[in-house]
Amino acid sequence: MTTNPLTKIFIKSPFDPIVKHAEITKKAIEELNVAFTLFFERDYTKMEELCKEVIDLETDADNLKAKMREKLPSGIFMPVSRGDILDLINHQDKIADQAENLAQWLLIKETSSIPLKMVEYMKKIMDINVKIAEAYVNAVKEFKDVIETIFMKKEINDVMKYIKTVESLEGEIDRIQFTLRNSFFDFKEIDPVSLYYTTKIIDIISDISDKAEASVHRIRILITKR
Amino acid sequence: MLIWLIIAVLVGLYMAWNIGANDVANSMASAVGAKAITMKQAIIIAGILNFLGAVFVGCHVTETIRKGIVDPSSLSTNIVIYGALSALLAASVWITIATWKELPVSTTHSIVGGLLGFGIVAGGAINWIKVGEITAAWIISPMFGCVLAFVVFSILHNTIFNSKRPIKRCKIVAPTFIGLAFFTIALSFLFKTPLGKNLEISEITAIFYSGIIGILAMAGGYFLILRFYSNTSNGIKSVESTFRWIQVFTSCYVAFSQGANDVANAIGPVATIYTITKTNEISSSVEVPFFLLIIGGLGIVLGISTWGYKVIDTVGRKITELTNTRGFTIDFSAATTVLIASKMGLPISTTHAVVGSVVGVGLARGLKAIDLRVIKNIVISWAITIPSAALMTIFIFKILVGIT
Repeated sequence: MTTNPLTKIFIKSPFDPIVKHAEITKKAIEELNVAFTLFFERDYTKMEELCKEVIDLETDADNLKAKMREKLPSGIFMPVSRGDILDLINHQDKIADQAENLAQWLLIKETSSIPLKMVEYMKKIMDINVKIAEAYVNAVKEFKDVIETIFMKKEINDVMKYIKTVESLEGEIDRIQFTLRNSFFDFKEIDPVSLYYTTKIIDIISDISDKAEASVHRIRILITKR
Repeated sequence: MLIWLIIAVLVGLYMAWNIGANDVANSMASAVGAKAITMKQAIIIAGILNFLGAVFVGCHVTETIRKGIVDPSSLSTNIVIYGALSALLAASVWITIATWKELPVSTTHSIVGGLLGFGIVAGGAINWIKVGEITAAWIISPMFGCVLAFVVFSILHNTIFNSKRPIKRCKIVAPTFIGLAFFTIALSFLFKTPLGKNLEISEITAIFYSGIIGILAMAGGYFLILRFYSNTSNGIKSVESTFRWIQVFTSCYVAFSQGANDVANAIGPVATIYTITKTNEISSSVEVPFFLLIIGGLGIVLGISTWGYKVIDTVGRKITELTNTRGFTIDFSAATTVLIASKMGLPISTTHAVVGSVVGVGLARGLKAIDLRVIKNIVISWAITIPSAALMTIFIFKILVGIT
């Protein structure tokens, strides 16, 4: 009990939890990648375990997101706008959402439905996703440093470097997706349900990279808008 | 009459206790939070510096509280005793309620509100010009702290953090601020004070001497930094650690300024009653007796050691993200603001000066997150405090007159 308002003016900043949230997302994608390989090897018991872990990680990320939002009251004053931070949290959370989404589709365990010709491409996309996740976490960590060093040029450049990495990796996935789309009608003989299953999985894995790209764009706004 | 004096001394002691309990965190929390000093050291330092500030520079604000707001010369001695006592009682009751309800109420605002109530009930001997000045100071002081903190932090940021050799810059910038602080403190000791008069120092010589003291302090700071940090790496971390011990010093600066401004809240009305009981007349020329300032200092130490340490601890835990340079900026700006106000005889809230400085660092993007709703609560509490303390004073005054 005190009349001193200094006990209330300092509040926890959201930047540490944002990094933690990104790290959870990265872990989910890495485990998903292992599960993805196991899926094609038809090692379902281990895959199931990993998929469930990914789903758990997504729940963790969701809880953290809710906590972060609670800790951003309307009266908060930060070096960046509250709206932009909420926007970043919102976008970043969608990466983990898509990871969970894929885990659930993998749990259907219809490996045989996927045309062999496509498997290599899909694995490649997932490998790139792991790289994206790593670059993304680094971007968020460096973003935190930008805030801590009060927008120091060197730190801003470091963030930009990782943002560009994410963008170029996403571009790579786009090109693979383009190739896959062009060969779409080569698979006329496959039954429509199997093809749906295949395209669904392809869509989700490429969406993971899209969501990561959307998130780095939010970071770009946060570090350039002064 | 003696009974009133005893009661006044006790209530004054309680007010001083409140200052120690609630407000000493302003000066000590950042240094304790940054682990620059221990809690024990904080209690001792705060006690001594509050005391020194009260004794050497406390006279200006005490004069304002004693006779600047309500002019007692046209009133009878009994009325003045009851009035001063009622104001003091009302302010302490109000502070107690505020502490219980966790309202960000200032002791300064409470006592001024109480004195206004006394002025109204005693037949309007209120010096409205002075009241206007004080009100203006209440609005201006947090803003001044805010602007000063913004400027100081921007200077630190642009000269030290944005430079390629931060430690090298730090060795020049940090002593400059130490010098400036010493200049202000020395000036506050010598400029228009009883001490200055005793030493027969004119105003211009006071500035001159203070300037020399400031330059000496700057040189001293320079050599200290050179001695202790000559071999450390050239990074932001060693800049922060340099500012860590400078922060000990700025904490003292805040505590000193606080003593100069806030002790009057507790001791001013007691001084009024004491003078009357001793001389049996309302004399405005008698200086504040030394032993009353000691009582004020003691009350503050009691306040810190019985309750204030908890508040220091709470604030200290909350400001772990406050680095030493930021803590230094807040301390320096708030202390300078409070000391200037003290010299002008304006009772202001140290807490509000600190809050203003926090916002200033925030505006310079030096803080990751602060809660601006606090400011709204401060303004609301501000607005309730004046009429509440005034009404309570009127009420207590009526009772005191009724029973005697």
